[in-house]
Amino acid sequence: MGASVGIGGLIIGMTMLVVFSMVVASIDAKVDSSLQTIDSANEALPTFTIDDATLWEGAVVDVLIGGGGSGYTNGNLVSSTGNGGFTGTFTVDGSGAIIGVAITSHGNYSSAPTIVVQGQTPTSSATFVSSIGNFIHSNVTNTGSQITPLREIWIFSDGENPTNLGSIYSGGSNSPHWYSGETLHVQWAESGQLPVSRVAISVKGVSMASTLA
Amino acid sequence: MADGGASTFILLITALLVSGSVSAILINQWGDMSSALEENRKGKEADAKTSVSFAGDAMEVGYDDSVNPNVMTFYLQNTGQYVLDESTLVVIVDGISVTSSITTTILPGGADWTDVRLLEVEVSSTSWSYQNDDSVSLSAVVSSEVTAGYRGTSTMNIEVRLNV
Repeated sequence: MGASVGIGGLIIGMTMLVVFSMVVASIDAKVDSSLQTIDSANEALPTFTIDDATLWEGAVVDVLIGGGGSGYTNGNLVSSTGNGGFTGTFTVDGSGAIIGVAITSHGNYSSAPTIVVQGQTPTSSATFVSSIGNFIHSNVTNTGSQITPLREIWIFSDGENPTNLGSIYSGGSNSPHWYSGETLHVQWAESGQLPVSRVAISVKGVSMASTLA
Repeated sequence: MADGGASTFILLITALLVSGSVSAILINQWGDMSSALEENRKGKEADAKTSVSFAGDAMEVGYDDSVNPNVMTFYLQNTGQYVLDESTLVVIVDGISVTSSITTTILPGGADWTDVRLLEVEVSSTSWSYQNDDSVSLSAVVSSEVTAGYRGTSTMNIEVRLNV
């Protein structure tokens, strides 16, 4: 009888130990899970620099096709007046008429430049009408370790006119992210009230500003 | 000996019953504790995933003194993971709440204030008489949409300079 009581006591003790250990393990798991969840929500802040920011008040902001001409092949556009640095490309239809233009460098001019086709002899020459306006150019560098989607980056001029970087950036990359160490050349038309003196960039709660040159 | 064996057996059964009852109570209590931890975790998680930040140029916060009441315009960015509920926005300027006169616009246009979007906030007050380059203390409190049964809250505080 004494032996059975001892065994019974042992069983009770073991059962209690198992119950305790299961509960402790369960609570530990809950606490670990909580900490992991909360930690995962706390991302490191992005760090970046505005390397330069310049306002060009005579940038070519639009090129309209006055007459498409004929006998062209897809090619490049340049300005025949001034040395502002405009470049563009164009596309043609089946007859060689220019049907579309794209600006690749807006340049900077004191008056609207004359735009011409570079290095082609057409059957009939095309004509273009350019207009100039305000453009802000800036180089920004991701100096941190964060990879940031461009759509989460906002640009401001004098604290107003928020522009989403994801909607304007087309700097030779199809990647919609800003990688660590990457410098982006950002340019956008400034249609707000002039003069604009400062530009600011906000990335995930971090904002930096720079005076425009 | 038989009496001694019976009483020992009764003691054993009693011990089993008591220990079983205690185990049941403890398990129940620990279950409650575990549930409380889970509830607390979800609340903390909602708060951790709810974040709002000032966006733009703190040195150039728009202030229009040509209208009555004067209007201050600034931008808030959803920097958390949960969708924010702009209707819960509370704005405090120099310690005074201006909640009753807030106009908000989600940029770019959309129904939800997600982490991609900005909130343009226009607040006005007849008691303001700020001048250009005045510094004001700006605070905003906003809650997330209810997510998994919980609503997180975030606060933003910043000193800004007004641009009239």
